[in-house]
Amino acid sequence: MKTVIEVSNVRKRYPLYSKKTDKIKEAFSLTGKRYHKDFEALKGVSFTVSKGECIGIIGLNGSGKSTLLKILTGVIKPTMGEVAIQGKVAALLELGAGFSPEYTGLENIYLNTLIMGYSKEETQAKLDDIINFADIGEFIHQPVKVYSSGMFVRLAFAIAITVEPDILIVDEALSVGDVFFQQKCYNKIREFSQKSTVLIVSHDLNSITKFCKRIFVMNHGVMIYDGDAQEAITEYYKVKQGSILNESTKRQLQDTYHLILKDNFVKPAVNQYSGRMDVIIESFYYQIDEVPFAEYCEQGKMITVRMVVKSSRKIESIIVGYQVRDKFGNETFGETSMTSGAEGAPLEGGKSIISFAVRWPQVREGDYFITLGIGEGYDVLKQVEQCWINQAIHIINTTHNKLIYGVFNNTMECFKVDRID
Amino acid sequence: MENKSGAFRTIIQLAKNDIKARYANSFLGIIWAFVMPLITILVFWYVFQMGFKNLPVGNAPYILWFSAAYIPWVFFSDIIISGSGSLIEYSFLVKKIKFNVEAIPIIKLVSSAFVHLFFIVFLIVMFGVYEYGFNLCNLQIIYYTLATAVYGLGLVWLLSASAVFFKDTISIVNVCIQIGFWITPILWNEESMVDENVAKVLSLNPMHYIINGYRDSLIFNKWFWENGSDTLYFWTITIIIFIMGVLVFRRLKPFFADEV
Repeated sequence: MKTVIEVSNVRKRYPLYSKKTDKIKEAFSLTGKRYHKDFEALKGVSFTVSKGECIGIIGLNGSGKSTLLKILTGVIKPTMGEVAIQGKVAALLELGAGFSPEYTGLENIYLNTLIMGYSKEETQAKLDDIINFADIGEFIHQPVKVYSSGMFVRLAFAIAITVEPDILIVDEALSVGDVFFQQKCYNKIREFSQKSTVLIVSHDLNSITKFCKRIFVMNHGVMIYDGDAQEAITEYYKVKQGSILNESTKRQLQDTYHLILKDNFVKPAVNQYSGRMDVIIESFYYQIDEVPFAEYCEQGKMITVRMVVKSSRKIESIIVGYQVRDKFGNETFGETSMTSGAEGAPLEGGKSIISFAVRWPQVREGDYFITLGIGEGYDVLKQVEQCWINQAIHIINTTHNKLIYGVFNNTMECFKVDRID
Repeated sequence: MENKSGAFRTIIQLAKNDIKARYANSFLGIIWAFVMPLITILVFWYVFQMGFKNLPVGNAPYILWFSAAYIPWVFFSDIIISGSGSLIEYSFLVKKIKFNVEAIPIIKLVSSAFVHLFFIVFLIVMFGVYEYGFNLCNLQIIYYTLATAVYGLGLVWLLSASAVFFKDTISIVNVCIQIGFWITPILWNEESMVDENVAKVLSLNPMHYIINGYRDSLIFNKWFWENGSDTLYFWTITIIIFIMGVLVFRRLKPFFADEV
């Protein structure tokens, strides 16, 4: 496939001045003294994108996603590195799309397309499509400054998608629209990504994994992952839950590997761990209705999980929990020992075995991943995450061709037909 | 912007929008662009021509003599004031979209030029009312308008780029325009100035050349090459400022999106 975006070792540095006057002092400094600290928003990012790819970019706030997109659209220049882009780019950056607040929606359509290089006639031909897609009614004749943020983004998106750019860049903007509009947009993006290239930044992991096969995970200006969507979500959660393991904990974990109690317990991979690590889940075991490490599951079966944990100190109250995500990263269900009604159990220093059992509920068929976790505290909302094993267990749920209409089905309590005439 | 003609079309369209947007919130809209200078001219006519009975200057009634200088001054100050803040005003073109930002001050220039075009017509009508006949020299206002535009554009590139980094630039520009109005021979006649040295210093202002040029074209029927040294001086300064404007703008351009 043809490469349309090539980014090599892009860095973006912002000078931060503690005082306003420092800026002037530096500008007129004869000695060349520096009065600022540098903030690196991007610390050397490289990747290539081929035509027709649909790429998601995820990461916490301040990880450099938006800066990256702004550089791709050419709005800001990288401090270092090269960016090569082939084709017309349409972008929805944060909540702005080159709209003048004083102009009406209609005027802004013309303004925007004009700047993107389309003639008045070309725009007129597409005007109905744009207005229909935006669907903001009479507001199209009102100045954009009176728009709600939802209307704003509707119009911006309608323009960006209708002008058929070669590359569409969407930055978190869609989250402002309501669910129906988001759905409409995602459908349109999916349709669009058949022939063009799309880059999306979003915090909505559910929708981003739905149609982005390739996902970048950004953290502190570095791209820490580039690849498969499922894996990307694991990486994202690891970042979100605090610590990417530091080297010393890593070594500590490696050392404990040969102290496993039972042979049939499995050791999680080092990169699945996150948390504070005062308590470490060294290994775990699970069975589904007596079958150890079963892969398939269905409604009503019992999953039993046992974990060998090692604690570096006595913990007053632990909370054990699990969470099940589908392959899109949707949190489908989960529970903790605390909210299941169990008292918070104390955990002595040293090794212990923790077990719990869960009955598999009715859920849609497909792949599910169970994350196991141990927290410290008396309240689920205020717990300290001690040890999480992300996506510890992979289960394929079958429904024997029974159709699940949503996340789960809800049986009718009563059904009858009465004749009334 | 695909090509030159596309860029030109874009700028014209944006300039039209700019005029509309400038007065979008006021009831009378675009009319305000014309009302302000017209009222000023009316007041000057009443106070100086009717009240003070100011004598005609070089055979021209005071109000004609004044208007011939005041109209290009309005054009110039409009370019400078609106142009200096243009990058800040059009931040949505700088930040949110890939756009040739050099064009933004040009948009302002063109929109000021539209208004100026009306006033040139107005001047012609005024001179017609006072029964001035057509003279070939009159056509020179095209040359002087272009000269104002080139001088203004160089300045505006310089000022708009620095205004992004130092917002104070805009206040400084406002003060300078105020001062400029009084140090340029718009409502006083430099020939009646007593101290010649002061007159010399004041004539260093490039707008001095423009103002006199308009009067030469409309009233005194004098060609611009008759003032060879003044013309040379004006263009030297203008070219220097223009080059400085281009250089500074280019240099600062990569940082606009981060700063605006």
